[in-house]
Amino acid sequence: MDRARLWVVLMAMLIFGVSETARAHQPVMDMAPRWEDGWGFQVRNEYRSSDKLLSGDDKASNPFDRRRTVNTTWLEGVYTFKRELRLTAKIPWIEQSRVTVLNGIPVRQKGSGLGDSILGLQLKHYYNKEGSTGNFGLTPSVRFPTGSTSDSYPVGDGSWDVGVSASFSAEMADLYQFYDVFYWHNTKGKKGINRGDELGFDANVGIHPYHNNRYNMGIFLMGDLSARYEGRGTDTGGTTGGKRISLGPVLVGYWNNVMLRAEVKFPVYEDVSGTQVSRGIDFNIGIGVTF
Amino acid sequence: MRFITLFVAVLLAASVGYAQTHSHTDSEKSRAEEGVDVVVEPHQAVVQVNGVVCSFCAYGAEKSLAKLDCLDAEQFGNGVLIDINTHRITLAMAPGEQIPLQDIHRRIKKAGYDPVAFYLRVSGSLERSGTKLLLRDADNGQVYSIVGGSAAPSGTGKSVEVQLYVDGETVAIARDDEPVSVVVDRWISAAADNG
Repeated sequence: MDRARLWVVLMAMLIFGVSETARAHQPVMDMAPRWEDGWGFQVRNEYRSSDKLLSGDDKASNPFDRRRTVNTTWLEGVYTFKRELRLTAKIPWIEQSRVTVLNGIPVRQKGSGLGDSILGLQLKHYYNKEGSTGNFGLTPSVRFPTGSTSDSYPVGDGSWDVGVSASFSAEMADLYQFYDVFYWHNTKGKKGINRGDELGFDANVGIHPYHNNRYNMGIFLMGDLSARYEGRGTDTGGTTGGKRISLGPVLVGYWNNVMLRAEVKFPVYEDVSGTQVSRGIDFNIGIGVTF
Repeated sequence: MRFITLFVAVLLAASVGYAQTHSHTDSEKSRAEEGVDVVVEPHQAVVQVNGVVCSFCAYGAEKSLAKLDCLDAEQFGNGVLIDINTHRITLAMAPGEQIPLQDIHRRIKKAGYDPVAFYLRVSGSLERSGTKLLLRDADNGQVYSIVGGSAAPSGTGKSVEVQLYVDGETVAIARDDEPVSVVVDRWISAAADNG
């Protein structure tokens, strides 16, 4: 093993020893299915919970024990018409609760059910080289108000939103990288919900340390960086919006056409509008299948 | 926080460093294209494919190729082996079955990848047809037109075993009613003149 390779292995161990979550906007199964008439789906669960109160980027005292827990299960599907054109759908099922303060009184709010669904049309340009493959993607998306706004902590916002993302990914036999920048325009919804527009950037970089050709199985180890800016807005619990950066490790395992993915994402920088509960640590686990 | 910042810096540096350790792929490319390190076993065909570096992504190619009737499904589980390190797809051919080069090419392309070279191992006899030197596979009767490569043994009617190379583009434009043009990658054996 040469020094460079040894260095990379050590870095991989460090990455694995330290620390994301799949992004709702992100293209479903980026590299596959790239074949015509290929399709796939994945089910993944995101969980985050926090009782850390922030005022701007400072930790604030929390006498009313404000907290928030969000548990979202995503069903995501993709259909590849041809290499250059894919349709993606993302349907969330949300269970969430929080303690917030309205008019100086702590209020417990809850919500559960089908959330707002996202439909995207991906335009892809793939390239193949000896030893590598990759693609550029442009994905206009629409978020439908399929989620209810009747709960005290609504799982939907009652508005039609539009977004676009631009991505690039490249892969070699033992290196993977993915970059994505996106923008969501959030329109005014029901019950006073009026969230600000969102701008985000994600990077996944990692290695492919194990692969078995005979059994077509292996693993990826990656690091994930997520950066978000959301304009100031409001929902039923008060002010929304802010900036944050999250980091964490991603472990992906696959066997033939089945892929498992587990992520943990730590907030390393948060600057919220007004006073809000921190996003907390994101946990994400999922399974995907392509056909 | 410092640790996390360090983590990000290290992660990005590791990626760049790792990519640099793979900067030798251009030299590997020329070797691979020349077929120096490709060894085809009897009853197998090897396809050099650009972009096959992730088997999960190449599942579509494997699934499509595995439907070929000419494969020996008892080998590799379904007759198809994808090696993401050498970027090659090995097909296990059933005895007596001809190799449908164009169909293989089409299936790989449809799956999203670019077949750049085919390597075949053929045992058969040399024939002349006008100015063309033909090789007829003794096992399945498939005929190839030899257009280049290392010099053939003199005379026709010889029993030979040979590894052939076919450019992906050649396969893409080949006509069904004509022998595909091949280059001799290497002579494995050439028996005594039978003619």
